[in-house]
Amino acid sequence: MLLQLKNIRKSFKENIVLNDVSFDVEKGEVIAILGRSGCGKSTLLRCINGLEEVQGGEIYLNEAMITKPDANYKHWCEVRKKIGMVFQSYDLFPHMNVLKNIILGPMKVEKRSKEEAVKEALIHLERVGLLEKVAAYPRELSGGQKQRVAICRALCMNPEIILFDEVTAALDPEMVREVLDVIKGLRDQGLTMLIVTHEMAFAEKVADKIIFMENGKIVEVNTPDKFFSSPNTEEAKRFLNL
Amino acid sequence: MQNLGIEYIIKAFPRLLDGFIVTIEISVSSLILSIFFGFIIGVLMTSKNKVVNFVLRIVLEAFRLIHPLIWLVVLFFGVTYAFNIQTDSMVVSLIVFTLWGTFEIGDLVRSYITSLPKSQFEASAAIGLTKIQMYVYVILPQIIIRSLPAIVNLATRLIKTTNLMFLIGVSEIMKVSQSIIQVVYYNNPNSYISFTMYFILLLVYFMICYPLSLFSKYLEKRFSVV
Amino acid sequence: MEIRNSFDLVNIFIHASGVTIEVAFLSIIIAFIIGLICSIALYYKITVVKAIIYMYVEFFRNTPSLVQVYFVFYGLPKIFVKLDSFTCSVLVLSLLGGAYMCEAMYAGMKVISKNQRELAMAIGLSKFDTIRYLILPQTISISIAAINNNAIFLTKEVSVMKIILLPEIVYQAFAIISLRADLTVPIMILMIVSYLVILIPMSYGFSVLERKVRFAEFGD
Repeated sequence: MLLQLKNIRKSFKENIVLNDVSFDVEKGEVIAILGRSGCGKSTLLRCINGLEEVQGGEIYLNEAMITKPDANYKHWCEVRKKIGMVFQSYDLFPHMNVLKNIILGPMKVEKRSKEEAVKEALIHLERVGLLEKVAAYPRELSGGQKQRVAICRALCMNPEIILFDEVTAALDPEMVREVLDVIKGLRDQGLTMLIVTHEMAFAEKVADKIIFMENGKIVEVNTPDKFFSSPNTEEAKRFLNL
Repeated sequence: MQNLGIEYIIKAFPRLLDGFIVTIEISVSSLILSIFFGFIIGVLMTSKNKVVNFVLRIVLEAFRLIHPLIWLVVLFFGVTYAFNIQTDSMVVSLIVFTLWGTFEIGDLVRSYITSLPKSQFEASAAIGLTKIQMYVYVILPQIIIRSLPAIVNLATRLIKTTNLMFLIGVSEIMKVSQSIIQVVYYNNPNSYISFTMYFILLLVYFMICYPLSLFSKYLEKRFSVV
Repeated sequence: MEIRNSFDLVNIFIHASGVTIEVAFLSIIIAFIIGLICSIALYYKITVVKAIIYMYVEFFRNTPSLVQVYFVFYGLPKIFVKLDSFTCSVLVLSLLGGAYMCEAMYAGMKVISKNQRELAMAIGLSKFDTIRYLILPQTISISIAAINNNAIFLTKEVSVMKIILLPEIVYQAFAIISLRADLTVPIMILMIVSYLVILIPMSYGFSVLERKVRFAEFGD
């Protein structure tokens, strides 16, 4: 069992955003988390790598609890070496070129040598088809290219699982395709991924399991083909307009 | 023409140069120290600790509202009298101008840090950088680039304001000029030297500060794209 | 001057503050007017005038006020006319302030789109009316923060005028210390307090003004 969430509860002031959420992730699984805006799916991802604090419940990575009550910044730094995240707003560092953006993590956090980091960065860049942009600055890239670089940046840390938080939401339709192709490629390589997305067709093709959330609770867990053709719950049916 | 006293100025050139060097010394030293401490203070000012924040803001406003001249006077006379110690006017000047510059830069850095999108902090955290690494590699470089025009601007203001030190006795260019003028008047009461001397001083300051202000404008244009 | 008790001391500083406020007030108003005229001239791009104004602004912004005032007070009398310290202070501060105000207002004017000016011409508004009803209100609204900062800066800069014997706060402080060094600490405190008493209400008043002016224009 790679990742386990048990009874996660989170609230912002009086708003309960996550209400008793539990699920497991196996190694190599690709899970798509769907739901309306505001149902808590992004918050859920951010709890997993510590960007948000949970008020109740536990998260286990490789059987070890990562949501310790005394968890400080240093603890999460260690965790984040194994859990990668790609954001909706890509957030490349504007003062560094593409290569430096990617090797910053490996060099400073994992203390790898520059040659090693560069070699691996170039491999990832080639896989996403951006090798020729290695010395370009973020301002010279399109949205889709920036997002692909952000994915390389996360990959170069060799995480055990990558979280994708609505990574295509800020992109023009043409660019959405190139990013989704990259994610499909990662799935074929056996990478464990949690993907929060609005792209239904993509979720259907790429995910092994669909988790559907509403109002901070997991309403339905199903396989993609069953979920999209005949979901079990009323809420899912309403969500998919069936 | 001879009444303008130009030959006296030319003769006194070495002394004037010495005085000018003192001005530049203090300005440059204050600037460098201000940049160093200013960034530290700036980061501190983003802390959530209410006490730290409050104290820093009070000191900031103190240097904003009160002219450095007044702080020079207070520190020089006040400290000498109150604690009965000899204060060196150059040291006092350095302290006052450094504090002034530090808090100016500090406030600037603070506003730049808070205006950076939160996502830069999150993306740094997501790849596992520690807080210090995040500031050193991601946050501060961006802030340094953005603050360059303001730093050049501060340099210009420091050069213009440091000549106030002569009021507490530092032998910088104003003091030297005045003593030269006095000597000339003693020998030649009809000389126009005060006109010439101060006119030349204005030109000298202009020739230093104007290029700096142009440079600052250039930096602003260049880095607004980043 | 005789200092028999603390009342005398405070009295001196009250009068000195009065001088400071007088000089500052006059300088700010004249600087504002100069700034207005210059920025309008710049905006309408009258070439020769533009060059002169540019030189004026850059000259006053890139030279120290100390040297400026020494030049006018000690240097000019040789070939021109001797001015008393009050006039001299107001003159230099007005010109200095005018340069800063011009810069602030011109920056505000540049933000107003050219379209508005053309629109005004199309409707047939005279140049004067265009300035009065269209450009001025918007400029002031946009630049009000900078204008306020300049005003506060001018008020603080009055202290530099001490060197030409203007009987303002710092001058009096020096004068008393030379007579009665034992009063150093109270004098230092009075000096700071006097300026705070002038500047804190001024600063507060200006932020209220700023909010009102911006609200009138932007509604926020």
